Amino acid sequence: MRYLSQLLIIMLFSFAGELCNIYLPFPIPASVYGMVFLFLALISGVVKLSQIEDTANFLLDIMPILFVGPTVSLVRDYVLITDELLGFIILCVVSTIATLIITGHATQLIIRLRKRKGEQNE
Amino acid sequence: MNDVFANSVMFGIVVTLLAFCLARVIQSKTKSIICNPLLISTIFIAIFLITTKTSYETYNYGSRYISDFLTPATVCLAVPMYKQFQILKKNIWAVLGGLLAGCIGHGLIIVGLGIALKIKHYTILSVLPKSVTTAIAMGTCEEIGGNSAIVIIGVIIAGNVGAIVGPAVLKLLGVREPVAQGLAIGACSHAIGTSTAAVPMGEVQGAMSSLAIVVTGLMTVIVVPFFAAML
Repeated sequence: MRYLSQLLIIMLFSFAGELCNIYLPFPIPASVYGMVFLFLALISGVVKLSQIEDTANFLLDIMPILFVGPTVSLVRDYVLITDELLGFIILCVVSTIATLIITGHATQLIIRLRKRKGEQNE
Repeated sequence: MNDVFANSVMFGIVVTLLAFCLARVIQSKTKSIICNPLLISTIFIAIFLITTKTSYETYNYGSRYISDFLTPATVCLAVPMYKQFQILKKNIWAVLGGLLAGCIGHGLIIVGLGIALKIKHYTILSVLPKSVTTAIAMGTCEEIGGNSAIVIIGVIIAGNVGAIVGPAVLKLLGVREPVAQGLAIGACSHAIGTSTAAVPMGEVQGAMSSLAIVVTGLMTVIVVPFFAAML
């Protein structure tokens, strides 16, 4: 029963997210609304971690498999880009790795600058 | 084989679970980063569907029920974020600054490299929102007048590239702060990178990557229309 009541809470937040996605005019998906709501509920103490943790960990654990179906859709949709396939793949791969490096180094730089500033103030 | 399994829900579910379990075994045997279970199981299923002449629709008739759990699973990413709330609060400026840099850098590279590679403007426009989770990418793509099937291909490539090479590239280029590692993977590879690369790296990386999905998603909604106007 523990898992079911935990699932109920998680599904309620997903449902609330879905309603916001349907009725609010922003291009924000149901899952992001739900994640923000659950995060706020945890911080404010409305939901306690122990009330959702087991089922949440299970869902997080199986998450990679949830992407398999949508990924297989490439078998059907690759025709949209066949005439510029190589360029398209280069564009996606290069921009992804560049974003990884830019974000990683920018964040690390800010963290280290602030650490140095903190040490000088002490 | 379309006729045989056309009305079977369990067909798509069994094929998905079987392919994924096999891929997990291969990953644990080889310990190779290329053997990412998502990538390997997708290749297995693609080969299976093509050789048996089964349509994606027949497969998806059952597999979509598995994918329907994406929303509650993504909602649960709030849990690692909550557990690392203190680290998040301490690094709030690094989080916002790093992610904004990544978001703008991504847009500039897509537009610049896309034009240099002589890719159709319509295609470039469609992949502009590709570093965020599928649902935001599709919504943003429709807002700027792109093709949402193309952006999904971009989202999947971005997710897998970051998940497979992300941890190695970060180590190689000296990104050692766990906060920076997590944000970087989440910023370029959204939920795919978060669940298959950042969460296994550690609690901090998993939490920061989850946070990056939300913040990069919101930044993308705001920033992408400006890059679209450049085309």
